[in-house]
Amino acid sequence: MASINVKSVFKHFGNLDVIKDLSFNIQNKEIVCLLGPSGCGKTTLLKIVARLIAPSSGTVSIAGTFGIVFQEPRLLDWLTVEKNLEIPYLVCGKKVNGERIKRMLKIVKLNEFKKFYPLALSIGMQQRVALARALLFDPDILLLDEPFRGLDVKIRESLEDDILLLSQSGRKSVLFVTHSIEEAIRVADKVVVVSRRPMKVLNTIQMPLGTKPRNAYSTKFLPFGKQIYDCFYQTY
Amino acid sequence: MYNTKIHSIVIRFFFFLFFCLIWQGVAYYLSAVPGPFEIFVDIIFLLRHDIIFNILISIWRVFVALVISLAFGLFLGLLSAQVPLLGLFLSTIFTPIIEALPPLAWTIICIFILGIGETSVLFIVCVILIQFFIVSTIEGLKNIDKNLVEMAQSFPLGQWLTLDKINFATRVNILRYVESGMIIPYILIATRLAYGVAWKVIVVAEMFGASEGVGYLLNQAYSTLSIKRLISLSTLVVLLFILGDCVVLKNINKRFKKWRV
Repeated sequence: MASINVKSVFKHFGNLDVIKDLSFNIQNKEIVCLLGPSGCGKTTLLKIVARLIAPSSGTVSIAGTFGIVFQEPRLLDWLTVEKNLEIPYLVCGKKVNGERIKRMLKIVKLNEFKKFYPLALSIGMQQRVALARALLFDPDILLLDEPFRGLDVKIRESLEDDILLLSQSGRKSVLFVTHSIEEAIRVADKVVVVSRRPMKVLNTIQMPLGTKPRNAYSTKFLPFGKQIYDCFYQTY
Repeated sequence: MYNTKIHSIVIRFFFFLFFCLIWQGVAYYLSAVPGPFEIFVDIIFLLRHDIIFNILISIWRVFVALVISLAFGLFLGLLSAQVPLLGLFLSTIFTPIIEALPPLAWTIICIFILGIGETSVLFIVCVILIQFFIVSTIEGLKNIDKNLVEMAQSFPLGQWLTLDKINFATRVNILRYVESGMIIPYILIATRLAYGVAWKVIVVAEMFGASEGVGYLLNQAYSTLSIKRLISLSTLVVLLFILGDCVVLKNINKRFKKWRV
């Protein structure tokens, strides 16, 4: 049972309050979008969830293993795509599983590019490599920190579809940090709208069950879009 | 790409020709200075006789000194990042002494303490080269991309849920597989700088602290006041430096930078 439970988390850097009494949870196989304006502290929260930084107070409990995709691909430029995917094994002191790497590259449709260096790939392709890297250990939970920021709509949608496919086939819980309402409607089971700094939960919107990706502009989802929009723009 | 390379070789050849012409001009007006052709003939003469052994000895010493100072410099640099007190000691005591004292002073001090021989020569060169590697390692560590380290840390954190802190083995793995790639460019620059200095220092050290090597031959030429032999041997040192730089160091550099598009 993969789940995340964030309870009364506070985070401040010196006198700067970044997160104030934030609570929410993610159930098994649920895709939760954390939606908030740029610079509100979403990335800080994701790092707290990933235990890369500690909260000032409050608790975060995670049941299950997790993989993380950051805003930037964070690939090692001096290693080929294939060698980049060996890094998780090497860092954890595990035996490199070549078969698994091959499979992951096939899933993200980059098998032909395994001998390429990251700088020879587009940002979209680099982000696909980062996604493959996060999925190497078949984690129960995926933490995604605005991974498709700056990509054009077509590539972004294609990558969102990949995430949906992977999460549905692999039965994974996903925490998707974004500032795009459209992106949240397309993929989320639940949208947690957060305020500007100090960040706190403004509203939690449960999305209807059904097939995904959803079309954010269809009449069925327009009311959800409006609800999220109203809530989101309260923050400005 | 191919044309650019040929172009560069042709330009370098003309530079060399231009330099030889100026040299010949100087030799024409100053009769004490031998001309380039005379030096070329003398170098051929030296190579036909027993100088090869002395050249190989000097090359071997440069290589060993570079390896030893790289190993110790890297170790001290990494250690000083962990132990700030050591870093402070190196920057306030060690580096100023090494930088301020000329190689000749080092040579004389070492000969008095260690005597003439291999140990003295290697010690002098290592002591002078080590600071290049210490400084470059510290600079490399300072400029490490924290985002990449964070990315690397996320894998063990995502796997080992009972661990609050990443253990020592994982830290070593992150240094070995992630951080090392960011330090290597600094080490490569330090190696090229140290290689040039190594030749300068080895010649001085061999002049007074050894009974073989190119520096020793230079000392012999000096004691017989043979300006031709002095210039021939100096030219040989320059040629050896260029050979090592072009054949070894530039290729290593190229190998580590092939990912740049």
